Amino acid sequence: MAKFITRRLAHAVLVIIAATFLIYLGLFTLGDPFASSGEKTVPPEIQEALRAKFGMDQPFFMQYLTYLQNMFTFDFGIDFEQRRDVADMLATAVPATARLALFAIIIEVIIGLTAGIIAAVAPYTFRDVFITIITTLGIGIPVFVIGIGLRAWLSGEWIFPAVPRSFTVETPWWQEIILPALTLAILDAAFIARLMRGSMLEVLRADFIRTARAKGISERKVIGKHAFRNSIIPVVTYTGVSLGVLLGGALITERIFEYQGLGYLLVRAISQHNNPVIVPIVVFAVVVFVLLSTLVDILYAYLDPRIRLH
Amino acid sequence: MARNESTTDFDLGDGPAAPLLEVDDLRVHFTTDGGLVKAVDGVSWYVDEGETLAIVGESGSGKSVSAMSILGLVPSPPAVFPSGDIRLRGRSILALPEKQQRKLRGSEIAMIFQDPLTALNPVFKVGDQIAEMVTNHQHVSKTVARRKVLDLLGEVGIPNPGVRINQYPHEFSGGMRQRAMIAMALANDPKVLLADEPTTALDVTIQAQIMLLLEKLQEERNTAIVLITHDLGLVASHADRINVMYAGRIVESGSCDDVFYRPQHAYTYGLLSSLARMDRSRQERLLPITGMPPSLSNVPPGCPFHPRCRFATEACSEALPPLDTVVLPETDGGGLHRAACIHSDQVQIAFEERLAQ
Repeated sequence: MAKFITRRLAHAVLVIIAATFLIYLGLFTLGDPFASSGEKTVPPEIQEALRAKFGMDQPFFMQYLTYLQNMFTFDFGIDFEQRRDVADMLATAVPATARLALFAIIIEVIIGLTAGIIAAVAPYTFRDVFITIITTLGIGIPVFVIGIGLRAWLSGEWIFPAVPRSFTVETPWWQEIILPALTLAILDAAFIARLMRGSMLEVLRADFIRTARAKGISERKVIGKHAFRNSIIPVVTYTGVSLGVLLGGALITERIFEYQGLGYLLVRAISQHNNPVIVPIVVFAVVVFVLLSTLVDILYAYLDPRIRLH
Repeated sequence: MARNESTTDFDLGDGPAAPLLEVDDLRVHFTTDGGLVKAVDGVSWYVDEGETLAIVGESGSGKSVSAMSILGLVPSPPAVFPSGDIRLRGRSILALPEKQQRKLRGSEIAMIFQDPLTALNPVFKVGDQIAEMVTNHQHVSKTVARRKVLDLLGEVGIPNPGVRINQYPHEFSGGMRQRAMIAMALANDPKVLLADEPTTALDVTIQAQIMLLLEKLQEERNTAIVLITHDLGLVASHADRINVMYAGRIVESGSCDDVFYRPQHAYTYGLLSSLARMDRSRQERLLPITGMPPSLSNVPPGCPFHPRCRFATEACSEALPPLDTVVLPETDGGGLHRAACIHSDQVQIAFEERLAQ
């Protein structure tokens, strides 16, 4: 187990290096952020000065190596737009996104598992068909439609903050988080419900469920213990992946609700060619994804003893 | 062997007149898209302490379904139970509320299944699965339950119980898994053990070991065993009485010797003639039964076996012969010998000729 984790962590370091390199290369080929474009005209001498200030007069590999070196000391440089320290920007955006992601995951897992189990224990009944219809809608409607709909309907009402956001109004984090978390949770909850239903239906046909019933244990225990432990495995994988994606920043949802997380920051940074902000956010997303898939693998082995880690 | 007080409040003291477990005119039908499937259609049998009753038949003859209905393991819907009663010591199980029925499952009546790999839950330790059986029916602490599990594992011949108790089913071999299943089934000293094809998934040497183990445990505990199988060889060496099932009904019933040496039903004759016998020095030609078992949603009229029967006459397709068509006295203390065949005399002659060959 320890060996498995160590190897996975070493693996993660390699992934970080590869990811930064590819992102760096991508941004480099996208062109010069200080060049004149559209209505923006920049005099050549100012372009020169900016490049020198941000070290972009250096050859590509020198730029990359300097960046890599600084990154491992958590020095991400300053952003092009307002000369803020990127590390500071991340220090507020990462917790905001993490809160949102965890909140959304908790909602989707609770709703998804409950709906999936309810559907699976009474297949083809009214309850099951009803859940199937709702989940089909949940999966089918694009996230931006749900988000914009919720915003139009609920923002500014009751406890939900108004969008566009006012700089003068302070909203507690939990009020800010509800609508975006719900938006993110709806699609995944529907998907988890589907997964859980299918997986549990299959498990309920298994011989060991018959054995459990033959033992005379209550139906609640048959479902909640014997069937649940076996049918949860695909849901764990999906939830791990889903959490990994959400922790990298929910681009659309955060933008819709003007939620100041990584996704919001990233969308802005991309539209402004703000490279020092883009690189660490993407790398963070990649690292979180790698770490979470490791965690999922470990959970897997715990849930199904037939899987051995090596 | 220490007996544990079972927590069930089911009274087993209704006097010696009632058999231990009695199935009376049981019918189990399934409503499917293809019509009504009569999986079990009027089956009666009983079993007493220390006795082994074999239920023999092809796949789909209803032998497993009838056993599983005893434990309430047949899902309803789609199953319906148009008639029938199941009595434990004369008291109807089916009339009990679900919660009371559940108390009997695993404590008074336990079951072991065909494939011990799929019958054990892959994600729980074998020891915990057996312990669950104990704690579910007896109010004992975890430590006591664990000690009980260790005893049981030793009793069913699993070496190193201390290690095995913490292992998962996939770490057990096939024979060991079936031993673990037996340990689980016997955890609460059930009066009746339903064994549904207990050795079919095992290789032949292991089969013999498992059957010997069951016999040993039966002797120690005076358990009644209902052995459900298609393996006539297994039946010949381990059963006291035999019920032969075909298309959801019992077609012949009697002691082991009566059925094996004096078959009265054409189907039993067919089964025995298609079997290579070790007790014969000169081997006669094996006679296969032609055709396929009927679809249970469309059972032929009259005797369900007549389309495949070498003795069939017109009368066979007209009326269904009841099991009491032939009633012979017992020849070796196994109860009456009964068959549902109108040509039993011809069957007997044909069988005797075969033996004399």
